[in-house]
Amino acid sequence: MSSVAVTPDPEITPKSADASLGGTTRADRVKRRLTSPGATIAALIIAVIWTIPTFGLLLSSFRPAGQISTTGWWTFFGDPQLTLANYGEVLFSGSASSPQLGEYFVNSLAIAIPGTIIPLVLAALAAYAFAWVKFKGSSTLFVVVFALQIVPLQMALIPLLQLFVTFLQPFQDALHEAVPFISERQFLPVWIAHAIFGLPLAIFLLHNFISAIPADVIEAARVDGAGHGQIFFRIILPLATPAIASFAIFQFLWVWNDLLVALVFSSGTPDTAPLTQRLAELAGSRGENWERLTAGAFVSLVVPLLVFFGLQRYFVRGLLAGSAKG
Amino acid sequence: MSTMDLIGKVMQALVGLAAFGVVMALLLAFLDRPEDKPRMASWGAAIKQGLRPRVILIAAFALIAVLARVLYGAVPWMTQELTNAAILVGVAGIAVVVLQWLLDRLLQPAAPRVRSAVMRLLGAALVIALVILAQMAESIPALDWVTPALVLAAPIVGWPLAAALLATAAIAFLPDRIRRHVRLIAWLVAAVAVVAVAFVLEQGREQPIGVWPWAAAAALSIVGVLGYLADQHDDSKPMLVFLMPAALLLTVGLVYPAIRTTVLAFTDASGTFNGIENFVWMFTQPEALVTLGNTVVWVILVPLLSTAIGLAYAVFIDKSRGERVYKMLVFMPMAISMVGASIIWRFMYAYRGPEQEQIGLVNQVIVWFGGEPQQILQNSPWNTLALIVVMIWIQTGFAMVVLSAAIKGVPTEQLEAAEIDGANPWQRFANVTVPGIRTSLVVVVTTISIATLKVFDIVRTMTAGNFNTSVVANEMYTQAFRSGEPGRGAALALILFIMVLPVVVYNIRVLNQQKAIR
Repeated sequence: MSSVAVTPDPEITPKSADASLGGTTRADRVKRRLTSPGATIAALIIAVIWTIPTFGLLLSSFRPAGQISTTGWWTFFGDPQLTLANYGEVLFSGSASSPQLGEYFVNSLAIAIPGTIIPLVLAALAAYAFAWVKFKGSSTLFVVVFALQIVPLQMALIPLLQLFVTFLQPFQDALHEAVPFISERQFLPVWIAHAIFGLPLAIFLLHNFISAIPADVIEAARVDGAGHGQIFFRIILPLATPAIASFAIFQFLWVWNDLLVALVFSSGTPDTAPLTQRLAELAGSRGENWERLTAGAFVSLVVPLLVFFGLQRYFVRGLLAGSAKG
Repeated sequence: MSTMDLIGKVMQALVGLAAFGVVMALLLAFLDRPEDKPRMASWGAAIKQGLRPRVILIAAFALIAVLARVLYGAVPWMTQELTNAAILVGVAGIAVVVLQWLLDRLLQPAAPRVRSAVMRLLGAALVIALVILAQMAESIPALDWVTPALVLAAPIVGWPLAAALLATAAIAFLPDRIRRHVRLIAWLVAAVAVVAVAFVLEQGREQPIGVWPWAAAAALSIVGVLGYLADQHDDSKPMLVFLMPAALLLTVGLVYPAIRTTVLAFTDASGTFNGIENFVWMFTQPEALVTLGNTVVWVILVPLLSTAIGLAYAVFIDKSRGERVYKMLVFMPMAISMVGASIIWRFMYAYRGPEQEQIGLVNQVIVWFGGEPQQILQNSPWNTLALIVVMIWIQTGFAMVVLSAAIKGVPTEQLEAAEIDGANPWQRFANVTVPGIRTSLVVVVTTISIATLKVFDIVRTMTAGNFNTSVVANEMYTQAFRSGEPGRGAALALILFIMVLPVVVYNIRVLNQQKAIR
């Protein structure tokens, strides 16, 4: 699926370069006709409308609490006052009424990192097998795995939760007994759920990449006496890094931003609930408490935005491939 | 948050990942059995090769012992027995690693099979000796540190360990043909034995042992079956082991639940079969009908408007200066969570009475134009539109990025030819560009449709489905997990699946055609 929009780019660049070399830039001429001042203004308006909501939230989160709830954020420019108090309050305050998001931030990390690594490793192994083992029904099985992407995860929620309660809960309780400072409400169900829901896409994506690795490379390694482990770690993984990075980023953001899986499979307590769940709860119960909501929302946005600005290329590819997920 | 909580969470993540890593390492170890490895040419190479893992092992055992000693007295749950046991494990572990290494060097000339058998026999002898020593510990003054718990534990751990070592040593000499079958049987027998022993032990105690024997038995069986699958002479078949974890998870986590949900859709709250009652409820009750109606409105408006705006924007900014920045601004909402987006937009929609100063931009704009501020999220049916705006805000970036790439793929020659023929910009767009990006348009519309059908977070966060704004995915959650009606929830999930199905199938077909053309 990644072929949709990613591939055109490399094809375009040489072509337009050719055009600009030969003659008085015919492409430029066509281009100029297409971009009128009206279009530029329209684009500018859309860009502003799309940016204003986020900007307003960001600005508000730094305004003093009293001002947020009495005056619009646009009045800031007449009376500029900034403070970090809201962030201190939502992240670190120990008072019972504070959102205590620091704890949930840790939860989000504790969910998202294993929730990315586990499906990634499983899928890489499976994709290796799919790509390099010839067995009867291999292609059929691969199509089945791919087709599983169309099962909305809503279809899996109820029975999966029942399975977890029956088979997983006893082990969680036992683990809590054995090591008391691990809470009996654990991340395990959320990890497994995210791993399951991430697998079909991950296998598909990685298989496309791994099956494109030349067979000669792998044959040569086997002749040199490399085992499967060595081939996997020394050849497959390095060569498939772009695909792995794309999927890892997509899956990380998907898990980080997810609300439904967290609502169903985490306990909903500070022990395991991620940021999104806490924020949704705050928005429901204290919908007018804007100094907390604005800062809280931005705390949850920081990580995705960092990923977005830092790793945009991989992010776009993962997103395009994964847009049918879930 | 207390430090203890934080440690607990980090521990969980580390233990979870470590356990996962161990399982994966085991899988790989099965595929690369040491017996199959070519013999090392020189002593130097052999030592080098064997040294690193052993150094790591020794370090690990030393760490266990040291850690136990450091923690003793520092944390309440580190009892004296636990500390003693940990130190014992550490010291014994180091001794075993060193011994095994020395033996390995001594036996170097022998065949690998013989070597491992001798090693196992010696190991079994050592274990048996230790067990007997532990039983006599009371009468030997030098062993007074052996606690009763250790005396009790020694035979429980020791005898099975010795038996396992002896059995594996014997199995190594079986003919190739039956060896792997016997190995599998041995693993399964071990699994059964663990549970049986646990039951026997449980008879004599008040406290039940719980689920651990079952966990051990399950682990042993899985390891056995995986090893059985991996232990084949054909070189590529063993890799099927790689498929096992993924296949298992998908079967248990997606295939089975999907089937189960389908069945569940025809049952009532108590789990008894009630025919199509849930579907009758869905299509007759006013609140359920509102849900379905809203979903239809969503799935018509969001793909249409997002694609239209995204396309227009992509065309407007095409080849303009600062295209990258333009793209980034509109694409950014795609990265943030729907919960975050919902809060952003709740703030936009925030309402203050007409006599007060507005804090939400939308109401402020209404006031600036002389209107009355509105309770945007509560006035049905406009509130559904207000939610739809959020989804459009998120999805437009996606449409724009895909379509922008597609537009750049339309050949310049065609556009020029149309220009020479006297087509105006709009005609060029409608007759050249749009047909050129048709497949991408289809993909964008279908993809956004699927995402829209499943929309949950926005509705949940902004109105929780109140004020007539619920959609299928949200109602499914409410029914199944809040109202205690899993049957209705399952029925709604099934409807969702049926609605998504044709869109996805169409999407896949288009993609396949596209691939075939390439």
